Amino acid sequence: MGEAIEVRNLWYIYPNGVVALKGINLEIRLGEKVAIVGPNGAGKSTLIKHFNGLLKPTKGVVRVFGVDTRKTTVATLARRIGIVFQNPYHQFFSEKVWDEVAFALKNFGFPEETIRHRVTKVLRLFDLYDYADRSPFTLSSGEMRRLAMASILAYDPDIIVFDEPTVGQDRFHKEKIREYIKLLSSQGKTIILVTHDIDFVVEEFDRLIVMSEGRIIADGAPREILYNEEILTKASLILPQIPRLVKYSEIPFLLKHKPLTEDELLIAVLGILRGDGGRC
Amino acid sequence: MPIIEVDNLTYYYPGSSKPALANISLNVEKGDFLLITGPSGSGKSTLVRTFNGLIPHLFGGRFEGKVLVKGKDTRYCSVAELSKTVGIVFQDPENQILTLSVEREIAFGLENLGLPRKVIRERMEKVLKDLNIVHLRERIPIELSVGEQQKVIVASIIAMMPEVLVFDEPTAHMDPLSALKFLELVHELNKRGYTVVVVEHRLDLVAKYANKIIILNNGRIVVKGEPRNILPSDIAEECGVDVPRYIRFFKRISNLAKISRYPISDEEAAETLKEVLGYGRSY
Amino acid sequence: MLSLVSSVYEIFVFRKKAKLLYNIDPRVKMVQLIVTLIAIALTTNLILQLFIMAYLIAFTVIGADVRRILRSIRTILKMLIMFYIIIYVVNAFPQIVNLNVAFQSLIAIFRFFMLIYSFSLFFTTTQLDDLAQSLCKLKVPYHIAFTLTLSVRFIPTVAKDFLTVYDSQRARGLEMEKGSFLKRVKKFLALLIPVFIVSFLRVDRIAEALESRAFGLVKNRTFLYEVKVGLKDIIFLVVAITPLLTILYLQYYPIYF
Repeated sequence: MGEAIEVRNLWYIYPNGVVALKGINLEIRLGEKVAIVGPNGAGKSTLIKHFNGLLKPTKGVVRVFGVDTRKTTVATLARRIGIVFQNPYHQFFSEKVWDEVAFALKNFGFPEETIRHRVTKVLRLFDLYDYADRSPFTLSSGEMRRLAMASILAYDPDIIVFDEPTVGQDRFHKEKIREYIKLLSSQGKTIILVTHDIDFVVEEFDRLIVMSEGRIIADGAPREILYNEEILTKASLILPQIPRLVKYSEIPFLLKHKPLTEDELLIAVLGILRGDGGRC
Repeated sequence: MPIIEVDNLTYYYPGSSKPALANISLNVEKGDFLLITGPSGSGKSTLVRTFNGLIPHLFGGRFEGKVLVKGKDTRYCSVAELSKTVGIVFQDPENQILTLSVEREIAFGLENLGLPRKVIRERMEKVLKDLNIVHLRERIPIELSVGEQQKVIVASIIAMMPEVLVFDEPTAHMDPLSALKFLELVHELNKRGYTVVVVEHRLDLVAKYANKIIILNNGRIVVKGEPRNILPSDIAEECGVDVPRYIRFFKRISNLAKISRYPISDEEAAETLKEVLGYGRSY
Repeated sequence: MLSLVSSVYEIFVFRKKAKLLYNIDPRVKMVQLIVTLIAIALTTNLILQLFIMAYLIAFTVIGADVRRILRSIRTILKMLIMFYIIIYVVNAFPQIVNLNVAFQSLIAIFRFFMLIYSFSLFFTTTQLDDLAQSLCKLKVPYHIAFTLTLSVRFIPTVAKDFLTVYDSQRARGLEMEKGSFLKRVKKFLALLIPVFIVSFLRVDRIAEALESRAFGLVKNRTFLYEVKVGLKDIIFLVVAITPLLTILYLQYYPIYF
């Protein structure tokens, strides 16, 4: 697998003097599923805006598919990296759902025929095909989120960044988003998720990056990070619900087993109940 | 007498043929901590906006049935009048901050009530102390963190001395730790005597504080009762409520091990887990 | 773009400091501002204009926060330099060097600069709520005076919305720099429409926040701090106005220039 994104000693200082990123080093390989977590103001949004060149490093280098982001345009990068921003209202402007999805395809100069084909396909995928002629603003909040995703996925980028896709969404919508992420991942896409929803992360992601005050303070498997007291204190993170339960219960077997999800806890507990897990 | 009484309320937004709320009846008693939850678009935010008369006064629409606040019909009282009994903290602090200094933000409502300057100052000092934000008094609210902003809003509402505090998804824009701290503050306010109504998705953090829960779906109350009894029910799951993972977990093993009482907090869940697995209590 | 907005915001936003101008009644400062503006408008003599500038700097050093003011006018200063070049080129055309035009344009721009500087001096040292209260005392209805506070309060919010929209559309391949004039106008709609819609949605939210805090309940609302003209303010007014009147006097009765 090749390098999709490479970040070397990245510093970013906003025009008002706020130092948002302080020496970030990071590699994301093609096809990886990576979640970035951390408190508000940790620099998560600033970091992802470097991936498609919306922001350029104050110091250091960001390379996307080997290309230095300073030496190319946002449009060129955006063609291969789609960022789905949090609030759909910040992007909708078309009269029809269809045009909203076609917008990026037109910007990238796809031929008419391809546009029609792609828009149809992606609207079907997101259960929005029946709404094609409706105004985006008549959709429910969950549908709007899906439309925002569709408008990015229509042009088939290789890397997809989701910025807080689950905020304010109920479980049904979260499940849908989970399915889309699974699907995209199975197609070999690189997925980057920025979120506060750590329960969602542990159920779906195998690499976790923890940011705090402009730095990456942990990068690795969720299981190792979330059962590491030292990192947790530094990151001012709240544990996902299942590890939290295990921690409170202080049951040595489970602490050793480090379950992250309901399913994993279930397997571990069934092991104990059947007696083949041992109680030590 | 309940402090808020909703009697067979049905409400349509202007120009809508589908009711946003349908046949809602509920009581909020003094001292309650009422948790309202449900999937997006279920009418939670609409419901709490009837508690201080924003609906129907500000938004219009068709309003059937009635809402009584301390016995007074909201249809015949102004929002400003009702604000003295019911204070609402909304989701996004960005849209609630109206001034350029924390002090004046807190004083704003009191100034509008036309209270004497001395009273305003006393109340301001008191809420600044009560909420531990004395150090922020000269700051510009929009330049604070979301957690701090929301605290300033709470202060500005509390200063008006309402009896009921309503929170409409107050932690939506916060990170989990700020949300946890904020919900602890809400709990603390409830203990100090405020009647509290909270619309919230993060049930794993808030359910333990509530004595009542209502689940809304499609503008109707699907179920109401005590969180401990309601959250493990199948109906909660079916509505798309984010039931805490530990409750779901114990439901899944309930045919293998007897669960005498469903837990409602992390601590209780840990105890239940130890019981199920036969681990002795630590004492 | 961002730096221009934050510069405009910095001009209007009040950050408390224990310095003289911050404690002067807004009405007195308003009179000072008006007289300053008149002086700037009426003086044609460069030396007198330099006197006005010196006057402004003196007040900044004595009574205000020098660094704040510098920060707030920095971006505008850059723009003025740009304007200067444009005005010069337009007026001097087709000549390349024309000292007379260079000098005249400099005076025009310099005046404009002093104008902005005086506003900056006034607003950075005046809490907008106090200004609103002063306006109320001058019989302006409160809900109108309050719009001043509210609009400054929302400068950063709208700017942030605009930037977020800009980022979202660029992330979908929108390139503002490309295409014919008509195409660019159309592209601009992709930015404007979402900003408008988000702002409209905010209006409802702000309205309910105002209602919930009893906005407009009583006619005679109270103010946390009352603005009062005291002896200090009167003395300040005399000290502040005299130099300006002198400058104006010299403009019309030149003693020796």
